[in-house]
Amino acid sequence: MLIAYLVAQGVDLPVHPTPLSEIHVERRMRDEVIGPFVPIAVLISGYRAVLSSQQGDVCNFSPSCSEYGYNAINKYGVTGLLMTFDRLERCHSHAWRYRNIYYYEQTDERGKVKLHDPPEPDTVSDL
Amino acid sequence: MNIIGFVLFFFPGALVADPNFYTNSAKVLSFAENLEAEGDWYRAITEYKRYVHLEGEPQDDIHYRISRLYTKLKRFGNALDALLVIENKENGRYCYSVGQVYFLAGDYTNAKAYWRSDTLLGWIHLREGNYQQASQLLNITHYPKQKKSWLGGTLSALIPGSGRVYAGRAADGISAFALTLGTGLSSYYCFKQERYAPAYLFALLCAGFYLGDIYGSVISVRQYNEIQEEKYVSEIEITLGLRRQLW
Repeated sequence: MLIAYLVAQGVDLPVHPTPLSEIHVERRMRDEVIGPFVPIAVLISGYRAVLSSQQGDVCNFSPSCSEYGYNAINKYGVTGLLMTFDRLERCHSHAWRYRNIYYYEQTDERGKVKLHDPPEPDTVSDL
Repeated sequence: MNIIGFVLFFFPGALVADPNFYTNSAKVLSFAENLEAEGDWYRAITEYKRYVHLEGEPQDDIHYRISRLYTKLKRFGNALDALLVIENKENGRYCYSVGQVYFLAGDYTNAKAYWRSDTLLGWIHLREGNYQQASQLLNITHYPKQKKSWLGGTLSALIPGSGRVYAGRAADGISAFALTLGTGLSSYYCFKQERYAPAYLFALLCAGFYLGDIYGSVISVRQYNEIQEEKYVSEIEITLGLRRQLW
């Protein structure tokens, strides 16, 4: 009904409208990040869109460092920023030594085995 | 003849099924016990409840069994509900069972109200991390190995990465040291060459890695302590055979 009304009014409708789910995700990402952390969130989003997508899935952890950083900063602010740097320092090939001690293995949606390390401060992840 | 064939083909159970099976309480109880032994706990609970309904009298022992199965299924609220209907509450078994449900649910405050023996109270203190009181009640002579989180942070503030090495995570420590040093040196050389934009960027990254390392060292030491405590509690529980006292 609404579409028919808009067409009758001469409004140009997009041929391939953006799915509602995508609009929701974009809005949510923009709304969640607060004040001084917006530039960092934009940098992380840019990294994810431009570099990370070309580099492939190379992170040892699940969620990946960029996703971890984005969520940690959203959730914990300054502490989240420290958590992100801490995570970057922990993300190396020898991190697998701490499997079943500090992290447990998790298979992601692509079937790759990762070390589970959610953005929660001060906890050993549900071992 | 055709009718008999039809019945036998579609309802072969009619030949062997006992029409009184679901009204015979002894058979229902036996069936419930079999289900429990097989590990089909939800159905076992249903059959135990059916048994109680058929008997029509208070069945304290069966309610204990139902509570035990709900506890195994981690449905602690249902387990407590099953214990509430028990008639004879003035005995040790009732107090022990209620305390056990609270204990397994992690509600140690309520568990203390029901558990009276020194060993069990000591066990609660052990789980709560009150090692001093636990050692008095359980006659334990040693404590878990603990490291100081502030020392980890201080070490990292002095030499990046050393706090993580102190926490037993040398690989993380080396990584933190390399990242802090790398970004710091990059910043220094950029400043020296008067390339201020990358110099400030590397300085920011260096500061981030430095502070992140201090934070990470404190967290690493805390995690180390947490794991040591878990190991210690587990070791004590096995040594003293405490877990055998549970359902």
